[in-house]
Amino acid sequence: MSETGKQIIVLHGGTSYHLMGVEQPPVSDLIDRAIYAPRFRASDLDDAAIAVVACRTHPKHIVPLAADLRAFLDRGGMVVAMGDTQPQLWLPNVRYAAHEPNYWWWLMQGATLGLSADSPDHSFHRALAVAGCSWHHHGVFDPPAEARVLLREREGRPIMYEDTTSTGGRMLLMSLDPIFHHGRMHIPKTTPFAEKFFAWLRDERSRR
Amino acid sequence: MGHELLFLNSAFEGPGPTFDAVIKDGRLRVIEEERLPSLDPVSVGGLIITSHVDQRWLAARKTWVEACLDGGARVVFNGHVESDFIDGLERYQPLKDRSVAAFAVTREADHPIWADYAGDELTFRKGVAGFYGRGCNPAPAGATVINRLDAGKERLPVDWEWRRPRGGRVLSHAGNDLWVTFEQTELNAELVGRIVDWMEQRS
Repeated sequence: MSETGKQIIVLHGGTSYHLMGVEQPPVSDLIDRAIYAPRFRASDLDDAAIAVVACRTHPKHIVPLAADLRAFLDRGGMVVAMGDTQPQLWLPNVRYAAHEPNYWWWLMQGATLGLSADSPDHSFHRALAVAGCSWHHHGVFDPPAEARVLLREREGRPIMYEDTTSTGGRMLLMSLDPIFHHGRMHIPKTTPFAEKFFAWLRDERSRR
Repeated sequence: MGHELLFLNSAFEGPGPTFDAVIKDGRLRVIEEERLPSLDPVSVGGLIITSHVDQRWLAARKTWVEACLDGGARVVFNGHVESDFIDGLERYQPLKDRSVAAFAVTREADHPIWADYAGDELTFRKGVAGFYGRGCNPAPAGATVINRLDAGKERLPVDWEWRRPRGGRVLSHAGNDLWVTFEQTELNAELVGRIVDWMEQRS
């Protein structure tokens, strides 16, 4: 029997895009709890199966929770670090290099962002096609050798990966920032991404 | 006693290079969110709030922000209003129409910050519309609308200035931070200079 609970919780930093993007539908309907990170208590993880840190949540809110998140991982939990949350500061074994996104690739007719899927049998790819993940990315990871890379950028460098060996649980990291743009209503593609991503997390939870 | 102009830093990255000159010249000081309440609100001449501000935190400090305005400060707010941190502000309202025509920016009143920027310069970036704003923070009664979106139909006030009856002024831009409007950093830095000029003109 698992030692973690059943909830999907999302930690956020109280910005307009978090209040709109996490605490309002559709995402609020797909998760169990949105938690304003400064109000987080370690006991919030008791009932959680998956803890997501929403895009651009300032690491000053999450770094103090690193030990709680590590304990949660080590009892079998899953932690998702979304884009621009600086997970190298609060998750183990993370090497990350930020870069200036290419916001303009789509101006060239027929152009693509150049993402490619890796680990093709991973359940994530049944939920989200590469095209649905292609707006821009904010950096690249250098994951541990045992990690499963899910998405790579044009040069083949990882922008999303899963690490099930660095802790007792499962870490998913990405340099995509869907909640930021969904919550700001700037990039339409990010809203279906957010819906499909959280629906996928629900499936992952029920498979446990 | 002089009144200080502040940039409220809410982002991991800090204010960025467009602010280098005004910070170096001592015209603007960067302050982290958690340090703000330790200041006397009446000592603040102007406050830039970015689109990354923790609005739940800010709403809990509404009394401080209002005291700052009551003392005559000029507050520049960027982004979407999603909490109650100044009386008179209302929640962000997106455009219903998401077409290029609706994204067009139209000048309604002259303002020193926007002085010679033509509407099209604000509407288009690399020929694409929609970066400047896609909605509004509804303008309080008595506010002066500076720029509107979709002038033909929805007429949303994307930029406005409000001379607050109790004192101070609020300038609202319902988009990204104003200093990412242009392609070139120098133009954005010039815009930052104009914002600081405007804040310095407090009565």
